[in-house]
Amino acid sequence: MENKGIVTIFRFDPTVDKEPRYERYEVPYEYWHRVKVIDTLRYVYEVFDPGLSFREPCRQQICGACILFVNKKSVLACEAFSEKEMVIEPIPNRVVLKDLITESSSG
Amino acid sequence: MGADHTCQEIECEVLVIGSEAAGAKASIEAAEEVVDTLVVTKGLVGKGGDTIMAGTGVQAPLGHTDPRDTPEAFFEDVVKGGAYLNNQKLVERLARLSLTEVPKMEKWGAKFVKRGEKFDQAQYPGSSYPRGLRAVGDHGGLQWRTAFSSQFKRLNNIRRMEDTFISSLLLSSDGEAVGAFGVSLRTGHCVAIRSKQTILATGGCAQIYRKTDSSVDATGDGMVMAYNAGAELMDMEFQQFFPFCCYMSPFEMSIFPTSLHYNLHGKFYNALGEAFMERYSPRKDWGLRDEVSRGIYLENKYGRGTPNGGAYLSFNHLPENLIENFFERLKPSYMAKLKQMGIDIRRQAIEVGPGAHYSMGGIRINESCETAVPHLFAVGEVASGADGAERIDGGPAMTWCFTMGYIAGKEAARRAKQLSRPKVDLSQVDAEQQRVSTLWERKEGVRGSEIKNAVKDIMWEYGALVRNIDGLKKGLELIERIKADDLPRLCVAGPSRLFNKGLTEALEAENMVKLSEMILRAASIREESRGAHYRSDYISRNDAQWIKNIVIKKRPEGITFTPVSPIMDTIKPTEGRE
Repeated sequence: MENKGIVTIFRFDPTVDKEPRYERYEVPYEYWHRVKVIDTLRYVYEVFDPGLSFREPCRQQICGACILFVNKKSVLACEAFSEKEMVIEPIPNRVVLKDLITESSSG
Repeated sequence: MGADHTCQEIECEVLVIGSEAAGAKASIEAAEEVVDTLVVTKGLVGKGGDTIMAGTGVQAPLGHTDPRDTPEAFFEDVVKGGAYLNNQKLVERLARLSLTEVPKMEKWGAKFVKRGEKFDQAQYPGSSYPRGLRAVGDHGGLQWRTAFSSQFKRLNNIRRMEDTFISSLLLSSDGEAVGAFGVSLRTGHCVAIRSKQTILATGGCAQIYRKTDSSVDATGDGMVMAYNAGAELMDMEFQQFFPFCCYMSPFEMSIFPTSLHYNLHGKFYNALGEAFMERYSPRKDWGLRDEVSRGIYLENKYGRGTPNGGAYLSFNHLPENLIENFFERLKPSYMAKLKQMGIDIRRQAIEVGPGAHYSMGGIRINESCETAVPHLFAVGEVASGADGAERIDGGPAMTWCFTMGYIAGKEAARRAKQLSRPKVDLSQVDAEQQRVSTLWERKEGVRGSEIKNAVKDIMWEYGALVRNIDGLKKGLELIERIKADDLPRLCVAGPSRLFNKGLTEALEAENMVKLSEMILRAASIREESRGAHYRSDYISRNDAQWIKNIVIKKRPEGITFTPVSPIMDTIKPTEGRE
């Protein structure tokens, strides 16, 4: 238990949810320690929750599509390291399309 | 079910599938001819695909740094680098067009490194003269995005449709391309697009390998769509690996180790401290991509690799202050990244290794970028024939995107004006809708992500840098097992129709399985080593037998692999070394 990370993720499906909700997941050490936020999200999606929506096109800190709010800071999910306790939300002041995906202007 | 079966119908004159360098260029060139153009992408325009991650180079023989350079010299370098499997008519045309289409990017807003009025051109492995124009900054992709974005804003007859996964092409009763079928990932609804001309620009398939520096989007969707529609694929056994992927936790990024090596000439060491690269390349640490990649891969096979399966790339032979000054002057952002990784590059080495990078193979086209399917073009990495067996360094991939985009965009626009509204066979739309809705409704079974993970491991083990018949057979057997046991149970597990990654990955998984089979089978047939294809059981290049492209086609009796002679009307292989 000691080494488990606690990840709390913002969830919202406008077709069924009236209000956003938060889901809490426990992830093993190797999926939060010295990995990027995007890797932890990928683990949650593959192992716990196939319905989780997020963007991850380049994973090399260039395209900017994976920008998120992690522990109340705007970060690129492919750049920021995961923390032992994380609250992951869409970046504020944008319309949420589904979970962590927001309306964004393309390049 | 009601809403699930809603199919949005859309019409355009020129449909471009894929929105990055090749697709953006094609759509802009078409729209300039005043045709109604629609560009569709499974992600976001300017944020998906591999273009955004491109290095800074793009080749054009302008002769600004060395006036001896010519389109003929460019042509010759590309064909020699491609070990004579290139379509020479196509390369000739692209080499000539690069003189106008590459500098055009500056007019559209991309910034290049210049000396006064002239472009500062750099020389990379495989080029006889300094030919690589360089975009300003670390990533050429950002400059290309700026340029395309300015043109998208200027032209009001290009519609952009994002988050839309195209799963198949629609054909007329005569087998002509008349549009495409897809799913809007935003709503989960089907989309049927009717078009007079269609251009595929969906990129390569490097994601089929476990280790890759490509975008997660690079799953070869367009290759499979074209194949299913009756187009030919070619050279699928030629997949390029790039040796500078960072193998340290977290595995990512090829850009900064590449830049360090190209600028500071690093040295490779194995776990025993041996400078081993001389075993694999006469150029030692300055070898070509496939030599260096294969060297690192083999050292690991022999048990001399690093903890993470790569090699040490070191700059310790240089004085510390030289390294510091280099970073301060040119790449301050890199120092921060290395610090985040816990590496002091003045004293420590980075673990690097190969990752799948680029597909030389793809849809077979002629010098007008036409496929075997009428009204269907293919441009950029999804196409084949420009690179042959191996793409040379320094930015020809971007050159191909810009020049092929020009050719197909202009040609598709010209033809679209001559055609009336095409007829779409609605039974195809129904069949595709049925296929997708079967996936949606199957909630239990094997997920796309599971199949993708399995394929990546199989291809890395048996179909990557060093191939032999036993491994290829084993790989094929495993792929066949996935086809028989897993694909029929492919499911979309998540409950929502909105941005369901499971649907995207299910469709991608089917494509990746198909392409893996093609690569393994073509690699088994090619009993020689050439360019990026290396067989440990046939280590020599066999020009007598194998100056051939393996052409792949779907026929009523099944998939066929046919060796055919390349279009080789200008230069032929010389005796001895190339």
